[in-house]
Amino acid sequence: MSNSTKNTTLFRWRGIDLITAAVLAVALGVAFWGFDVFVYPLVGLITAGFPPLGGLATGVWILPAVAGALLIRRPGAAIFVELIAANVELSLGNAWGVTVLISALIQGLAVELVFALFRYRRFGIFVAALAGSVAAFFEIVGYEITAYYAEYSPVYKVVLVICAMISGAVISGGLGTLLIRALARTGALNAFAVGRESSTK
Amino acid sequence: MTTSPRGGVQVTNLTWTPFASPAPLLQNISLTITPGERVLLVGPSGSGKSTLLRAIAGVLNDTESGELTGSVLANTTGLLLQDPNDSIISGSIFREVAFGLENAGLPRVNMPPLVRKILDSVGLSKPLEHPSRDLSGGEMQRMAFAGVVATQPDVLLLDEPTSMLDENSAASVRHAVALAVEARKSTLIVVEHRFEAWLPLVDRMLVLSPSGSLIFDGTPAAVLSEHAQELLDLGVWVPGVPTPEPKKFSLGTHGSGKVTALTGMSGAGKTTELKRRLRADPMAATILTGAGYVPQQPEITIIGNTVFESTFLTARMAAQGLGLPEEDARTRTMALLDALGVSHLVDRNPYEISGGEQRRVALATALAHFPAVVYLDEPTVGQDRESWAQIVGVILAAREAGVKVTLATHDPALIALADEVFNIEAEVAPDKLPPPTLISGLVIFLSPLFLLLGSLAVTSLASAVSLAASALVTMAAVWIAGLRIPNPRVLLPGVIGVVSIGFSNWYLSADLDPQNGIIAGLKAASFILAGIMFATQLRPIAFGDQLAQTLRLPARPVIAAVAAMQRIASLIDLWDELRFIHKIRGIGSGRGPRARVQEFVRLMFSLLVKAIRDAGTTAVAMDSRGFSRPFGGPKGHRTWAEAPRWGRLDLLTLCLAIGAAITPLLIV
Repeated sequence: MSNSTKNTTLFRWRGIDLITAAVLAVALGVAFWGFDVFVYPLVGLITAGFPPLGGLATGVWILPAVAGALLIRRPGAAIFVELIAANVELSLGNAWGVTVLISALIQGLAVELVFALFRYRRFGIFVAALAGSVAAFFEIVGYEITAYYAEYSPVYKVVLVICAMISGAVISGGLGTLLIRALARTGALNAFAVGRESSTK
Repeated sequence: MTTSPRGGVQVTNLTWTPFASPAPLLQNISLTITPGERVLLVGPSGSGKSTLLRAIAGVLNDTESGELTGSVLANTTGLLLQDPNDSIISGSIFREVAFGLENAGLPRVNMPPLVRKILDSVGLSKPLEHPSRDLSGGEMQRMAFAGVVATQPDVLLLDEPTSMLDENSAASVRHAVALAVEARKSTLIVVEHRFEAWLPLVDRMLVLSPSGSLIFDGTPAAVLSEHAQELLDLGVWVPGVPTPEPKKFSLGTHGSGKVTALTGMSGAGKTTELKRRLRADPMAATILTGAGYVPQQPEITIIGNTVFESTFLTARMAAQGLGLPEEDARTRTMALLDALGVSHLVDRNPYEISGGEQRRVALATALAHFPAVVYLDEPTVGQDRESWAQIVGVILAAREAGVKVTLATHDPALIALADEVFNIEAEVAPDKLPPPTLISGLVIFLSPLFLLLGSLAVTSLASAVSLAASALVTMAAVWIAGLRIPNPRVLLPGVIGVVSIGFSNWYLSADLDPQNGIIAGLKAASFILAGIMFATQLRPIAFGDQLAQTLRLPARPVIAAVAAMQRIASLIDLWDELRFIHKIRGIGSGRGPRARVQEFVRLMFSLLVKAIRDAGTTAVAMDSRGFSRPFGGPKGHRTWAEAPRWGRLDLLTLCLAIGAAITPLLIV
């Protein structure tokens, strides 16, 4: 496929792009709901003594945005996937209510911003990690500090931001990349560029 | 380039090689189908029949990636898939059938009478608002067919439309097809393994070879009489030839085995009953040696990177656990794979073999660890003659070896071999209509957002208390008006979140003043708890109507999101089913944090693979109803079958929430 045709199709989503992105979001939403049952209580116990460490879980919630961008590779995928995943969380019950949509919008936009800086041409693990950690930064600084952690002392605010950014890079960027690559190896993503790359390797 | 006449199909030198595939799936196919011709397309599993239909429907390159050469010319086509569940994208029969009409831009007022007419023509008399998932298998397939007919295709393409149905349900679908073809003189191409009952309806028969080339083409009578032996050799179910003898196979001899068949109408609950019996079976709780299970969708039993790894996993663990030689377990696993004709696939990726092969691998997996009981859901569906004989041979060998076999099936030849048969009767439930919504989607989102905005103005304890109090009034008003939380536990994470916010804002504040914690907690409680309570009212379809029509967001992403949100319940069921399968396969029972995280990752991965594959099928079903073509309305818009609906509490809730948001500003 030549570059010029690539550009004309960058904004034109195929049916399968839309449906797969949406279903990816819903499946991740359901998995996170399962995560709450399986794993999250452990995280809660670990961080109870020092809540800013809870920021280390932030990347989990940003993973759908990064995974969506890595799978679809089109502008808007991160926001689309993250918003739907947040909606699923909402329908199944979560700790934050409707405001997860604000988080989703901020995270999705931040991830888009990073992939846009690379003109939607680079989808390696470095760009993914950068996207995850930038999204975590905006999530905490742009929203959570005002809404939830207004009374934290400045030092703890900084610790929280750093924890979240590490989490964004490692969990959303790193694990998100590994997840999409593993899915590609099963052949489930053969209709997508990332699946083709995996099969030609 | 010439265009084909209405209803004609012209395929020229079509070759299709999927990426990742070493050989073409379709090889140099050329054929001409004249308008009104009715064609039966047959061939062994994996010969590319479905792929050819998708190529004719023009959805091949939309949903898969590969190299396509040659050309296909066809007028408007309509594609019906094997499993109607894959086509479902909305909540009611009406919206389901109207989907193609919406994409074509038909005015809303014309839709209800037209949909009613189409539903009547396929013999479905349920009310328009009837939930689309609450139907029997035959009804659901006829609803899906009505959705295809609604787009008025010149060429009807049916991909194994009755293979999952019992004989009566299948007959109802064939009848609906016959009427539709007759009424519009449409061209018809149908793919089916057990095609005998379709013969009166077709006048031409095409046969694909295992390597995907067209080998026979003629009238059904001529092809069947001239090539009977070749067709039998390919494994084709040639009508009039007796069911093949089950292949001889032995797993040893050990008394008390038995085959119990659960049968009954499609949708009557065979699968549900099979799962109920499996979960109630004490053997299923016996880790490693207890039970084997082949679900209706066999790919969800896959664990591992190769066919052998996945098949052998439980057998290996059982051998280790019982201190038996691993070599014996390995030999038995290979013997089973061999008896089922899949031993050549041992090094392949289990996700990339065909559905029929996956079903046979799953059967080997279920028996490899020598369980006392096995439960098989439709073990022979979609198999050619050869594979059928292999599967039934293995089932009989299991019985001889003392295994109690329970299977759900509508295959008469298999039922005939059972020692015990239960006919599952459908429970006749009254037509259920969804409960009316009290608050609509936009208000569900806007109200807590106003509360959140209000919380930004909170500066003192007094303003925090007033905000929380007025949020409480809003919630109480909605409660009194009838909104009930289905399960109060959904509020629990919110309460924990609020407490943790309150606590940490005190504990981590610079001056350790308890008031900091109280203010932060009250602020958060006011928008979080209201948000959780209202969210229980969220109905994706109604919300989608508001997003697309009231807010004028782009139609296609909204439709895709709504279709996916409709899957939440079935994905939760799948999650549950995967956990259960992992349990009886002997993994995922560890209790430590590491074992839990590992099991979580495995479950999430299996869930995603299955969900993404199904999404591809749904995309085909949607595209074949005009989802990705330019919309047909004036100015290229699509229309919507229903206007956005507003709940009866919307205005009150919104006013109360805005009022609550303002209170902190009033208190200095």
